[in-house]
Amino acid sequence: MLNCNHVVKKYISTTAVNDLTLTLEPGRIYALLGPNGSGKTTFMKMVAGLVKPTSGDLTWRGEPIGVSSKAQIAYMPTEPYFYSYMTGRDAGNYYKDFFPDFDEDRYLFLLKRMELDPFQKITKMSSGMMAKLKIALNLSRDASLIMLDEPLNGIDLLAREAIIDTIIENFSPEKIFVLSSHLVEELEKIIDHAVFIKNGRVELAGDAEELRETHHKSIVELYKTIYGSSQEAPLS
Amino acid sequence: MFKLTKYELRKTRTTLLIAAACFALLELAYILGLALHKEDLAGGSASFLVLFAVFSYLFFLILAIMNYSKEMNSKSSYLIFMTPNTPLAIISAKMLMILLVGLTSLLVYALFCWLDIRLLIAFYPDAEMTGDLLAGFAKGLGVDLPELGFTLLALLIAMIVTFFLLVTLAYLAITLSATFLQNFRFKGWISCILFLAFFMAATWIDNHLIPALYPNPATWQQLWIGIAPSCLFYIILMILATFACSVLLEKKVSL
Repeated sequence: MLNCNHVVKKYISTTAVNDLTLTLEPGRIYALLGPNGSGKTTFMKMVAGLVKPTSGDLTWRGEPIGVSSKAQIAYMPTEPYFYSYMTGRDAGNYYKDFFPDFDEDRYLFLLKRMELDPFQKITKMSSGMMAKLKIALNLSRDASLIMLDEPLNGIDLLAREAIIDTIIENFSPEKIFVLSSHLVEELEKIIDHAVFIKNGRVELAGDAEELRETHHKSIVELYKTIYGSSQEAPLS
Repeated sequence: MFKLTKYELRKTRTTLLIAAACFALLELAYILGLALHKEDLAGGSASFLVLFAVFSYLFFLILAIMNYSKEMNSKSSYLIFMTPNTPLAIISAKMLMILLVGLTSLLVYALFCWLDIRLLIAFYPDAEMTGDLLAGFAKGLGVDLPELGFTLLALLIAMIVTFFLLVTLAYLAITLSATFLQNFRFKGWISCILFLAFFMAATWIDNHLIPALYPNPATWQQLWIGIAPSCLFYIILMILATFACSVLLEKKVSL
């Protein structure tokens, strides 16, 4: 379980995360929703241990984020994050060296499924190919918390379906999946919980089905209501 | 930590291979010059070998600093900081890589220096006589060549320790820039000033507070004993700076 209590992250002229409180429980697929700059990526980076919060508590299974949590948490950033010399195979070997839960056979299988050449240099890959590589790497880990930041960005329609199928295949009651995306329609099919982040804090969160029933709107419509025109009636 | 060091070396492999290739070419030119009795070629390549050894050593240290700065300001830092390793292990791996490259290159240069002198003597036997003549001349002036050698070695060790201290202090300044100073507008300039301040403070302490056991050493043994406290102080500083980097990264990392 991930617990986030009143977490704040401030930079020079902006507060990326502003008193965010959230609990993520196993056995669920969470959609982390919000426009650019809402704080989704900063939140994920804090959970991954790449950013320290300015204040607040962030714990994984009761322990602060650290070496132990990093062994159990997989984070896929939006940006490319590989060394310039790396091929797909090199990236796999790196993950194999540092993450005991990394399954190399599964990784090679996913690469093949996504029609990626493991010996191609990552710097020579298109953005879509790199996106698929990142997903293959992170879904080849048997991590307890898997966070995918914009996993469908830059990926063609057919490959998106394959990725969504792979996410569902990897899911288990012991795991937590957190997906952030602007392609809300694609995520709506698979998520259990939706978390709407606005100005660095949780605007609305809950079970996806309950949200739909309570507000009589789909997740996409809720997204438009929360982040759309101010003429829309605010959510109670 | 050794796996981390492996990847640190892998990142610099291309640069090291290019440096090795350049060195090999210069050695080849030297050997060809000797074999073909082309003194200009042998002499010229010998001079370039000496320059190469000095400048490449400085280059490796500067490269280590630049690579760390570049990494802390790029997304590739995610790769290392997402792994289940403590910041101390991460920083220590980088320091170990610098130490390995530094010591290995020193040993390689020293070995080839010795080999090149032996080759010179093999192709030009008169060179040995010249060496004996110089030794006799120096002795006449009261300079013992083996003692001179040990003295130069002591100074070389002191210089190398100082270079490594510079690298460690640069790492500390860069880490400060990426952590405590992350929200400052002129963090790059501030970290440069801090680096200079750290180094000046270290040399001031060394000159004024570290006891000079032999201020005017008469023998090479006295020189070695004399530089030991300074070297020890610098080594302790390096260890402290490494710990400081790890604490900063543990508490304030923001990539």
